Amino acid sequence: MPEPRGWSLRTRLLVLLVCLAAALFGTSAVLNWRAHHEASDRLFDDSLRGSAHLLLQLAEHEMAEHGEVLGLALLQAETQPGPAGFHFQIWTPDMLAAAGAGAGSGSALQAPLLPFAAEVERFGWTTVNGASWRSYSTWNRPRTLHIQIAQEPTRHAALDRLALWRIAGGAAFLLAMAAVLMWVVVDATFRPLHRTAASVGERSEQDLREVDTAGVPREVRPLVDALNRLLLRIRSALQTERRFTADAAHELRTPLAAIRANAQVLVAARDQAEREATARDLLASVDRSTRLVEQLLALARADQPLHDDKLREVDLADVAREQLAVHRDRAEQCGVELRGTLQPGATRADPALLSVMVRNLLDNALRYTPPGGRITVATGAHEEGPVLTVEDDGPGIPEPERERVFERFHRLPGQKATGSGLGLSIVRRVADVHGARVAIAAGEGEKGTRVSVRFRQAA
Amino acid sequence: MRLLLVEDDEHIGRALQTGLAQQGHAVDWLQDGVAAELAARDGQYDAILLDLGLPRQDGMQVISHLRRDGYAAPILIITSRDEIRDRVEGLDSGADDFIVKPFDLEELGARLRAAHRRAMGRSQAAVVHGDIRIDPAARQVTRAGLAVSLTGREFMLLLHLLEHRGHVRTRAQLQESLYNWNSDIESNAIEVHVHNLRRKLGKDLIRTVHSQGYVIDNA
Repeated sequence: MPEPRGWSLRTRLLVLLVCLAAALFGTSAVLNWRAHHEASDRLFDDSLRGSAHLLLQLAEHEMAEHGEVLGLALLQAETQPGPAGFHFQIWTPDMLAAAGAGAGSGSALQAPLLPFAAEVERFGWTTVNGASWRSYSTWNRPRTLHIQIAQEPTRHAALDRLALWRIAGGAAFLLAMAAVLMWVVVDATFRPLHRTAASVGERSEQDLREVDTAGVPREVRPLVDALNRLLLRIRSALQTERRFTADAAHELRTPLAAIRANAQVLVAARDQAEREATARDLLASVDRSTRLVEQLLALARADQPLHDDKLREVDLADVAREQLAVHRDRAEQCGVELRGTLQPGATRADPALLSVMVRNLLDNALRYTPPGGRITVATGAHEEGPVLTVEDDGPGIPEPERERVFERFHRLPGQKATGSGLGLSIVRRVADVHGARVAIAAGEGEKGTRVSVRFRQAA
Repeated sequence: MRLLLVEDDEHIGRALQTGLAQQGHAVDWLQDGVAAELAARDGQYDAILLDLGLPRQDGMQVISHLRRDGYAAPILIITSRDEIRDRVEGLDSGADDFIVKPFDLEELGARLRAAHRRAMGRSQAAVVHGDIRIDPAARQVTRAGLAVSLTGREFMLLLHLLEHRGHVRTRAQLQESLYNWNSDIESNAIEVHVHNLRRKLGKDLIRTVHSQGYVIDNA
């Protein structure tokens, strides 16, 4: 189940704590009340029993003094009306001897329902006027008189209610206090988190410094550490980006300078030959900037993460065949022989990026292979995976340079700078996003250059 | 001026060579650092235009080597490196100016003239000799206030002799200051130019020193 928006750890903790406290205080109040209730019941029972024995003693006394009948009659008279809230009946073993009822109450108690059992005494409940009264029955010691007495629950209940309010009120007050204190404590506990959040929240988009871990609780530390690692990655990515932009701007200056200089020379051209030669150079410079911009765009595209929906089953041989056809004319113009030894090599790749890769490899080879040279493109499936190689018999790349040529804008020293310096960077980048590996070695007979790209199995 | 241009980029190099020639300079163009250093030590250049990112030897190295050995001619850096650090480093290592690509050819010409003027110890842009006044920027010459029409080479020759006033310049030196390596030079080219200058500015201006060369005496 998704969490609601703006879900707050603090609020949840506070609510849980308050609920827990409420449950604890409530339980305590209930237990308290029950203890109180029992104690008060016992107290009332004691007083009920006391009243019963008092009445019995009174009856015994009257009977001893005046005889059974008169005594009980006297008792009845003495106790009319009975003590407030009391009803009682005194029985001899044969008959109802006397009865009294509390002031204001209705008729005397009905005949006892309980049989004259063996019990000496017993508490119980009896219904009087539709209300439940606490009752008590007992014998005098010689078992000559039996008394039943019942007490109206009103006062008892009123006292209980009072006690209930006190207990409940106390619990509610304590709960409120506890809630306030918990709020204070929870708020204080969460303050470091808020501080950290605020320090991150107040930052400008330029500020990618690490978040200070001082004072960050251990539980939150993994989060801050992960954030810092992310910041580090963003920082280095941004740095790369900035360096690339700076490099790109720098690289564009050269063809732009050539365009500008040629245009100025063209304006001031002294004769037709000079005008024509300069115009040709001007066009070539424009072409060069166009190509540089295209290469920059290709690199930017290859730099994007590869999405699965662009991946297709691709045969390296098909891609190579297509690019060989595209470069056939240029190879002829350069006087270079272009050959393909194409065996099927299936892989999963973005076909557009693969074409860019092969185009750049062929372009590089054509650029550096002298007339009369030969370029061979080979594809095939090997045990470790499908492989594409482009080999030329040009000047080759010296061993120490073989890693550096993949760097952006890196050109081999001592070379006429006609390339963009991006071709192999693009190749490397396309390989990287496909999980392929690029390696540069010398060609056949330690001559020329062989670039091989080893792809993953199509799986 | 006789200039050495060191620039490895074909398109810029060719354009600069042609453009500076249009401004009346004789330009030799080289594409690598080692050849540039050798040429500078060998030739009589009035100034060097130097790219920094060069094959075989970096431009900065060329400057420090030449300056270490007391090379005096102005060196102007032309580069696409535009960081303050690069400029400071370039100027501190002995360059006279630092020009960032892309640049304006006119401005480049002006900076060249300024550097050359400073090297010659002049503060005035114009060169004055008697009633002759030369404005290198406008490539104009006046005599007693009247404009005199000179060809590019005549102008360069006059300026060269005036800048070396009182010192005899040999025919080889004069030739070198006027022509780059690619020029086809007639054997009597200098004599022809001197003859024309005498015709236009007065026969006493340039004195022939027998079997040595030519000189313009201090006024």
